[in-house]
Amino acid sequence: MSVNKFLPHVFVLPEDDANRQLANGFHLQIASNLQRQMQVLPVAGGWVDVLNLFESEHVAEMDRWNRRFMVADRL
Amino acid sequence: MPISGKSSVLLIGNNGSGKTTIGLALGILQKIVRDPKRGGTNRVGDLVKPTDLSRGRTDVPMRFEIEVDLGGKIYEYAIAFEYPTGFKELRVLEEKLVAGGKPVYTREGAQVHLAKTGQEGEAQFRIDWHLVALPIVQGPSFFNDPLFIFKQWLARILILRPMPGLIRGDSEQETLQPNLQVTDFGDWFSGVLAPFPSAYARIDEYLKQVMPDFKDIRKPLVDKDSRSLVVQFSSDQGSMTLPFEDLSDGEKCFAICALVLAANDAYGPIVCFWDEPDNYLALSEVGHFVIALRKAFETGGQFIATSHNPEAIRRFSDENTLLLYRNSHLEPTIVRPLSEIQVSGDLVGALVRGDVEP
Repeated sequence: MSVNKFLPHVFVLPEDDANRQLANGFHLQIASNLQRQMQVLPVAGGWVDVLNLFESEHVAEMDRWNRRFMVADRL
Repeated sequence: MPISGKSSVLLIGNNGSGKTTIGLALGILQKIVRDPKRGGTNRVGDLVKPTDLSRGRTDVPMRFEIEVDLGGKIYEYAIAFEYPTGFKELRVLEEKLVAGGKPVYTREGAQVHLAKTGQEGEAQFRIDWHLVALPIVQGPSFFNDPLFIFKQWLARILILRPMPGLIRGDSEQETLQPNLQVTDFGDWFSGVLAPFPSAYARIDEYLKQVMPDFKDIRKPLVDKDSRSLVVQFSSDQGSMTLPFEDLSDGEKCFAICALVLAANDAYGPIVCFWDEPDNYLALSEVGHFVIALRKAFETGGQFIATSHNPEAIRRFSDENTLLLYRNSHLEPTIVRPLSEIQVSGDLVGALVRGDVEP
């Protein structure tokens, strides 16, 4: 099982590599039993790409899985 | 290897850059102190061969050195082998163990010098040049003896490159010294749970996270001298029992991961060198698997992984990723922290392009 999509879960969509590393740091601080409810996605490659990806992929998936939260981070 | 003070480290680099070789070198040091029934030997000819000499150079010694902080005390062990002209196998040139800055013993050739400890005076003796002294030398006490502490730590390092297809789950003995391919998983499982039964809670917790229908692992007798692991699953639809050997390759890796986490809790801190932990795992599992291991070792011990997998690589940061690189087979490997290397944009993209160089 990957993330349990029927429980609240959060995906982080990092804008760049620095944000990915920050997100990893947060992920390591989560309690072991909740760790699988967070996932850091591949780097989008720029803020415009974050928005495009969010619109083209994640909005529809969030409608489908209504316990999904997204963090699109930008420094 | 600049890995001091880091709870987890990732080694990346092209094929042939030397990532696996680090595990092999650790394995040679470990073999010196391991139980002979688990592949241990202190016979130099069984540890290293003349063909292991770099580019066949017989005039340069082959040297292994390791430093570890155990309970706030730095232990340094070093051994050098030489291959004199006319000999058929290598022999010990130098050897030493230092704990907290004080030599425990030193050796030059056959001559071993034991340092003064407590009421015990200095001592000297000679041993066969073709035998490593470390497993032979015995300190005055047992549990608090630096020799015992270092040897036990070294013997318990987990060097893993699992071959799930060969893991059957049979258990005839107990050990805390699993082999490289973890084909003795059943023995290791028994070895952890016999002295540390509470470790099962950690195994159970992890396996229920990755396989929500996991119920338990049992070890029924299969004949009068041996047992074999079986795994029970249950859900609203019922329950079923599978022999451990019938689990998928990835599921066996989950079980190995569970045992690593339990082992570090139970008798750690340990060092775990896992060569490509992402092997056999579904893409959606790789990140969780690596994060679980990294988090577990934050409280003690050290997790060292090698990988070519983007999902695994993304779970580490520049500070704990080391690039291994060499220009050709004729040159030594260069090790650089990724934080000292200029990488443009996404690391995985740069690796795919082959643009990550020291």
